Amino acid sequence: MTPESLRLRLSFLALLALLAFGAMVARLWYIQVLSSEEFEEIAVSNTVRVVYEPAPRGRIFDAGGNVLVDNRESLVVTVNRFAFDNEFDEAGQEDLVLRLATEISRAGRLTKVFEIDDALADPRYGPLDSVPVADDVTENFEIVLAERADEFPGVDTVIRSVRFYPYGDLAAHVLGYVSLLSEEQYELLADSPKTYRRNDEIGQTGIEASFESVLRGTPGFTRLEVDNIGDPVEVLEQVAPVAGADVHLTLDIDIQALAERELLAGLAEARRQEADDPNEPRFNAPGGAMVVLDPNGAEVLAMASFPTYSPSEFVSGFSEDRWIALQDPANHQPLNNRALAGVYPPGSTFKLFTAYAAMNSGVIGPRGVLDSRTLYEDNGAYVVPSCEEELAASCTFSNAEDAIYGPVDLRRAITVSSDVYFYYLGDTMDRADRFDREGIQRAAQMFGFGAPSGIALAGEGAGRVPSPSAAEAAGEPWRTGDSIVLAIGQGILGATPLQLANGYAAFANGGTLYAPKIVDRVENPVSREVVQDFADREVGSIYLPQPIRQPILEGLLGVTADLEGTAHLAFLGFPHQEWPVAGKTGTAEVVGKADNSLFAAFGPHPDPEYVVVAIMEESGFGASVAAPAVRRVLEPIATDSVPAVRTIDDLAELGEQIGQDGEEQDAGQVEEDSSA
Amino acid sequence: MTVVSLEERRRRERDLDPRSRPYAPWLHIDFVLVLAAAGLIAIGIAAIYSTTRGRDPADFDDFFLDRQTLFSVAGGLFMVFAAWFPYRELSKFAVAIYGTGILALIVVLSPFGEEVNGARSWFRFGDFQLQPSEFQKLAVVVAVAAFLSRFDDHMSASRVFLAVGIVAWPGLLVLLQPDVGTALVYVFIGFVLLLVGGIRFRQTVGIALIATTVVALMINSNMLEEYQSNRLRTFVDPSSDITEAAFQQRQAQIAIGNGGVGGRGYGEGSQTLSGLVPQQHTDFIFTVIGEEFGFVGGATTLGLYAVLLMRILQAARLAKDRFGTLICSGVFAMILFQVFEAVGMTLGITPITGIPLPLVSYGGSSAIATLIGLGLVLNVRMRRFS
Repeated sequence: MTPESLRLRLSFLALLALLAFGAMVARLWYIQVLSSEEFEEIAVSNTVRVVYEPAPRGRIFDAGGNVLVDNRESLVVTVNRFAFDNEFDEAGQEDLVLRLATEISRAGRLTKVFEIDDALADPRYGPLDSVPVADDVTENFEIVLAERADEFPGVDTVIRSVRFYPYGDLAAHVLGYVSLLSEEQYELLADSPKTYRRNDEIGQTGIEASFESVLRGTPGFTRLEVDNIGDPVEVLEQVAPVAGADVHLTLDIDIQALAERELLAGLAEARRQEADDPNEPRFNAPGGAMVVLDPNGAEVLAMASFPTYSPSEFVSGFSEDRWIALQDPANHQPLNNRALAGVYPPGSTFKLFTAYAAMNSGVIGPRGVLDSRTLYEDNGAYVVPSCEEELAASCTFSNAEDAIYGPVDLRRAITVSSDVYFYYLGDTMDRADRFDREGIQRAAQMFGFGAPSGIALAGEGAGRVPSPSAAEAAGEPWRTGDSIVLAIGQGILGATPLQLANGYAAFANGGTLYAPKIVDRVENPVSREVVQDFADREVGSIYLPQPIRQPILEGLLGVTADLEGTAHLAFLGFPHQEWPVAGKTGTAEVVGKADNSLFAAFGPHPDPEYVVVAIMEESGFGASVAAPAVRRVLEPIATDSVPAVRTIDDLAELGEQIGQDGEEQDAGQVEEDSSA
Repeated sequence: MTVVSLEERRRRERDLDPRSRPYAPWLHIDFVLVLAAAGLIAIGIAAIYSTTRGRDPADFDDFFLDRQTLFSVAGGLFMVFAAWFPYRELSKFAVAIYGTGILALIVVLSPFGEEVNGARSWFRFGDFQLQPSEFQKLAVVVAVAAFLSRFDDHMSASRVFLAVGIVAWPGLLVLLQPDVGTALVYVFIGFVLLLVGGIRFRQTVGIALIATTVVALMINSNMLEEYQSNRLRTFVDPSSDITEAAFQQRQAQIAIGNGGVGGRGYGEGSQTLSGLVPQQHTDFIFTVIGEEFGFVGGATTLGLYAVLLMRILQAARLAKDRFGTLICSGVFAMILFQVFEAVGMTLGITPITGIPLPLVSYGGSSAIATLIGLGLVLNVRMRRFS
């Protein structure tokens, strides 16, 4: 081998070394200079653990200071996933789950193996997290765990604060429910100052949702420096949790209970009715809503919706089947708050606003087609003069049930609910050039129809007020017939029960339209200091002078008090003298189904304090179902005998008392027996 | 009485003074190499202390610091001996050294050996452990060098076969421990010695084919322990699993990345303090340097290795005989491969194998064996004129 060859071979070694060192330095440069920031971030998170301490959620009160939503402590069993995955083989895992389910059940909380398996498979938890597998476990299990900890490695118990509903399911739709936040919500709230974590709860509906930012406390945290096995070495920073603020509602829980009870009773009654004609749709009465407002400020005193649900069901989470059932239209969507999300044709309850429109636009009045006292002959059907079928959609419009009311003025037309009289008004407004063609639409909008009322609850419907101009804009025809059916609250017209109640409230209070108020104030839970005070919010003012208001009011008062009033029978025996009620029945036609039954009322005249609106789906005449239900709500109010509702705890106590009394009685009986 | 003139006396005195002899070996000690080695040892001791002293400033643990200092001093003495002993005599002892080593590798597999981390690689003497495979690296260098230095032409196939055999026996014994990393060091040493020894190109191709086949069979057989095949798999696809190997590699890179340009400061590396990088004072020692001294410290360390290797290669070129050239090449191969592997695995450019970083990692056997190797290089270089 020549010296040149050796030199060459040694140079090759030098080249190898050069390549190796080049690669190392380049990689070192890449890691330490180019991507150092990224690695620094990881290094920090590697050695710093943040332990969160959840803050108690704010409570929800009614106007009387009763706690409607409270917090309670629940003992939760957790299984550490890391320990579970690493300390057991498959058989060992199965065995542990079985033993765990057995012990938890034996301690008094029935738990199935698959429930624990499902919880352990929850993808929301990371491989190092402790996963909650059973809640509301009894303290007995804690004792078992303390004595036999070595048999349950990685198993622990924690105390979690969960929602508690002292009045059970009452006001479920208003209060709403909380549940684990979804992935989308988590991403949306990533920058929230209230630090949401993946397995946190969030208000999903009702007040819980719309006041989430107020109710949620700010979690506390401890930043710890930890070593490689996660043991804390030093506390770097500690911040105490701040409790969420309390929300005080305008709701009166006693009236709420009354409204819910009577809505339920009314729907049950409706279902018992027999249809006159077997070919007509049945009275299914699947759902309904009732709203009670204070017209002076439109404060919501009660808001009931049926079918309802149990917010406490969400506390421990439930099966997917149950969730699907709650969403299923076949079950009439119990989570849906019909009082503000349901849009219904108001039927004859709308005549108040048609009457107002007619007087306000001059159709009724000195220069109009008739005076409010003018008698108009109701012969059972309204025939559109010089009718062209195509333009009018129909030329003859009849009263419901083909009733003939004879001569009616405005007052009587309302009291007996003469459709013919209002057909005439609608037709006149539509075709007489000297009147505002959209007078009814304008009046409806002044009373709050066609737009969300502005209540502080999510999911509110806007309703629909059809108009010639809107139809024109949409390229659809507007026919005289559309105006005629609009006059009696039928057709495309749609309103939520809350809108209808709010419209009546504006009339009742003399012309002020408020945004309905459900939250009165927000308070600091500790200092009781008012953080946020909600004043009455005026959103409109309606020109309502005595000459316009009086005839309508008289008509409405006659509905309940006059012998020929449509709700006369429903209000038979009602204390009319002390507590006069103005009301209006409505029977709204729904294609292919039984009529919706409606009743809207306010009282006591002349200074109304309550507005009540009831809507019952597929329930028949307003006079026969909705009106009696409203009467049963108004009567205790009028006689100051609204029953006080008991909380679950009160009831439990009462039950115990009754049980003890019973035992004593039994004992007494035995003595008697023996003495005999 | 003999009268000696002043001139004569001065001449005699000059002859007695070894400095006057131009070819005196110790006049040609390579101080650059010695300083580079000393620098690396110093960096190593500092890094070992940082990762093993604990978190309590009032009660730092000096155990590893003391021992590594001891190993370094002992290694220095061995180096002096290795440099002093006329290296050409070594070829006479090559068979004895190699044979003793093989014997030790056999005995270590028996119950006399001690198993640590799943590999039966150690003898225990009281508080100290001896890893024969570390010293066998040098034995392989000396044996192959002695064998190949007898010829001065291009190699015949039989000679290649014999040389490969010298490397293969200890290699197989180390694989049985099992210690794949060290076995790979033997393979690389063998390759470099054959290259410098005059292997032909077509023989290289043949060996490469055979080696590839053997390695492929090894990976597919169950000869590798589970953690070893995991390491290989993790290297191929780092995101594929969360096994310990991937965790190690990930944590190592986080530590180094956390150092940035200037480092976190001595004793301030959070990854190091938290003990998140496993084996940090031994195989993963480079992560301490990377985290606490940053790119500056890491590049300086690599620079010192580059100087060291350059001087070794220079010694190989300057050597007076083929034996010297081959010894230096072998030591060069041993250090180059270990540095590339031990640093590369912390940077994620080579798979994880248990190989110490020469002169820097904690461990007596490695430190002493490396220093002996460097002593031999000094030896070859300073005797290049004699």
